[in-house]
Amino acid sequence: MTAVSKTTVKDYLKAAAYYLLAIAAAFGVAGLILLTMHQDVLLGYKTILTTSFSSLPNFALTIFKFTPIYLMGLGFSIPLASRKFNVGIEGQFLLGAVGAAAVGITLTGMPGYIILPLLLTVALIMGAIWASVPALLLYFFRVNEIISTILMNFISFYLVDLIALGPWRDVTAGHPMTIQISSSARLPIIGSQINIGSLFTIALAVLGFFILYRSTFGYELRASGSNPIAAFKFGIKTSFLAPLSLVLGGAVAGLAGGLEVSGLYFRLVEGMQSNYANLAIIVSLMARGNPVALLLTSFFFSMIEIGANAMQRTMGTPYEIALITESLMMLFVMTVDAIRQKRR
Amino acid sequence: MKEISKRFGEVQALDNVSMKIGSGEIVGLVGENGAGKTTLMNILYGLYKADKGRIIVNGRETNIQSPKDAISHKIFMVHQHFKLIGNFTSLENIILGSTSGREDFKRMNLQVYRKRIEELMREHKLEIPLDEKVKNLSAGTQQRIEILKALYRMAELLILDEPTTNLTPQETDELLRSVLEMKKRGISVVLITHKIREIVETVDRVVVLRKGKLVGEVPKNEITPEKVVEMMVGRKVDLESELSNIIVPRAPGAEEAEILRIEGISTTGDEGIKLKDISLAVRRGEIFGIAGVSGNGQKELCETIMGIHRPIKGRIIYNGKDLSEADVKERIKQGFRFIPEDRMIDGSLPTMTLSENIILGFQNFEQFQRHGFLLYEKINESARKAIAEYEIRAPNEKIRVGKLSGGNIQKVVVARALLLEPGLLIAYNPTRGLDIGATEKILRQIVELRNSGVSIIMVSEDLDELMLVSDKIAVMYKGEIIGILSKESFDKSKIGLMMAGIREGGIGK
Repeated sequence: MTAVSKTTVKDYLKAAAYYLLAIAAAFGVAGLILLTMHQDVLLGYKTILTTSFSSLPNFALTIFKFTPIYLMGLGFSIPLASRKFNVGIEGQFLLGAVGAAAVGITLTGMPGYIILPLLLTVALIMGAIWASVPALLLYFFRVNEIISTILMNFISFYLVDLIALGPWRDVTAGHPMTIQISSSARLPIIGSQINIGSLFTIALAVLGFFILYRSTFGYELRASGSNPIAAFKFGIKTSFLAPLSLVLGGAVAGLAGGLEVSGLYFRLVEGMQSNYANLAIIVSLMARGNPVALLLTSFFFSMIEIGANAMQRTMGTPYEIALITESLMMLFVMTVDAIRQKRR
Repeated sequence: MKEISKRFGEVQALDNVSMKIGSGEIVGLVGENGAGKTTLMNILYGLYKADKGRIIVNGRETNIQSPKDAISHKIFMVHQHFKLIGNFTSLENIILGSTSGREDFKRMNLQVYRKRIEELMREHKLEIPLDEKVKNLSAGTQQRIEILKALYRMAELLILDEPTTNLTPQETDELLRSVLEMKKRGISVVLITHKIREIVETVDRVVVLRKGKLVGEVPKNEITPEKVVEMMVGRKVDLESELSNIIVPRAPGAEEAEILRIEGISTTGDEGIKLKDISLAVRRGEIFGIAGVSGNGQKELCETIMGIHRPIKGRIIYNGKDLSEADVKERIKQGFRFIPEDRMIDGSLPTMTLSENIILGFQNFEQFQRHGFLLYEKINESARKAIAEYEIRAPNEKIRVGKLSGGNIQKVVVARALLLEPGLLIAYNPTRGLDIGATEKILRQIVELRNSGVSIIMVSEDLDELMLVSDKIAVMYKGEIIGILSKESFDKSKIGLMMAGIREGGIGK
């Protein structure tokens, strides 16, 4: 047995080496791009990799980015276990934000310990409801979830517009947004900078890991994803589990929206989803849907985001270098996977 | 091929193996699962790279890096799992990849290709419908397409990996006839197989591998199946006498209690073959064999008994309980166990671990979970036991099943079915694709289950195997049971006739 476990350790190290190589390659190409822009490449690397840790505010900023990316990544990962692609995390996130804003604006004069759990629960439920439309379409009519979730995203954008320009509109703002939520509906800050919402990510990572990899429910989900025919023939209700996983993913993405409203913006803002959904999908795929590995990939991407922002400020490099680096990383990781497959 | 060695992780798959293939020679490459037959040929075909050794083609040392290189040396390989495009016609599949240049692309002049292919079909006695989509064709026909594809590219060496696994006996005969035709035209053929009996008549020479090592070669005039099997396994094997030794005979007339009763089951046919009013009874400690040409409703019957499909009519009674309404989960709980038809398609979870595969269907059993969370310690322990007991070739229980060879996946599927005291085992081709050693082991285990009182429904396309172990044999034809014979009246030619739809004592519908 010792020989066997030694091999597994060796395998893991080998895999890690491969992925480090992929990341290095991505940075290498990004460096070349910086060179063509006549930038100081080494300073660029340093800025990208160290800004997050250079000061507490910068670290806090990284965590602020990390929280929605992680949670939306988890919202993608849960259905991914059953091989369903929840591209609708963006819409589910927004609906969670809508729900949170509605609770925060309408319920005033209530203590935080009542309103906060309520706000987050409503956000969760709104995300789940938004995901349940594609889920029901999948269950009853086998409508492809990739298409239906994308379409639901479009609806969500205009729904946010409608609400941000409706009765709750903040008329003093130049951008579509609602008025602020009541002060008791805002998440407390710990330390002096870190958003308490980020603690949810750790808790959900552990919970997510145990549910996906240790529970019978997660087992059945993964079995449906691995081979739906075999799972079905051995008594697993695959046609029910896959839609259910979409709803669960939607709930987590909705929670992310709620946390953004309650912990960062204190209102519903048009465009608040940023490019989180795309990043979330990439980090989830890179982590192979594993909630714990997702912590790493999401944090790494948040770091690059913050670093690239700093580069834009200090070096005048366009922020888009972050997106280029991130995309290259995904491409190189996929390349490395393909090479490893071949080198058996 | 000279002194080829290849290592996969901790496993030495090939150790210093050399082999020659003469022009116009038919070589049987035989050995048990995991002996390295396919690996050796995959190296020749450029799919794997040898750690050590040389490949010499037509007297010249050659570096084959990829299948493309192999093909340029006129070496072709037909894999066990065909690599055809289902939505293309046979003709399109054959020419796919061999047309070149813009000209072909502009006006795919199919007529020219068709003539050439029709010629090849005549020459090699390989008949296929050229304009049918491949997905609608049987395994035998698809294999002929693969072979024609190689011939169309002027193959000089054709490697066939386990070519008979998915074929009916008649298709096997046809295949071997075409192989002889190829030989006449100077084409060399390597037949990778462990079913030595099938190829004895055809091959010029067999090369025997065992555990990655070359055991020896036997020229045509010295081949006897017994001798070759002994070389493959490393000891004498006589399946027939060994099994008949352990089958506990039943006192004539002594009828055991009925365990399973099927009353008038009919299905809509949405899932495949329509079942028509099937009734049968399986007793305690009985192997109830089901014979028939593949695709006559055996699969649908097994799956209906398992609860995977709902019949429109009829009842299923198990141990006196009516389980007609019970779902698969409930039936598994009651003791139903299932070895499905195809280990790849419906038997295994390729991206999950061996441990996780072993408990498929049992994940809610008390042994393996507490409060909805899996007890991985216990699961892994069961998996380790199964690995040892069934000699599954896997480095550990945490390996993904998709990385195992076909025969080893089959062992996982069988191990799962026998893991927790079955009450009723439904075994569909349980020994499919297994070598002699493993076949013997699994048949022995099934017989021992029977001896211990478990009821078994066994479907097999291997009539010899079925007659050897069954207590009764039902013959299926077009979704019906055309007759049931008991052990005293087993008769191969009679069963053969029934398989063709001819009823006992008369002509069937």
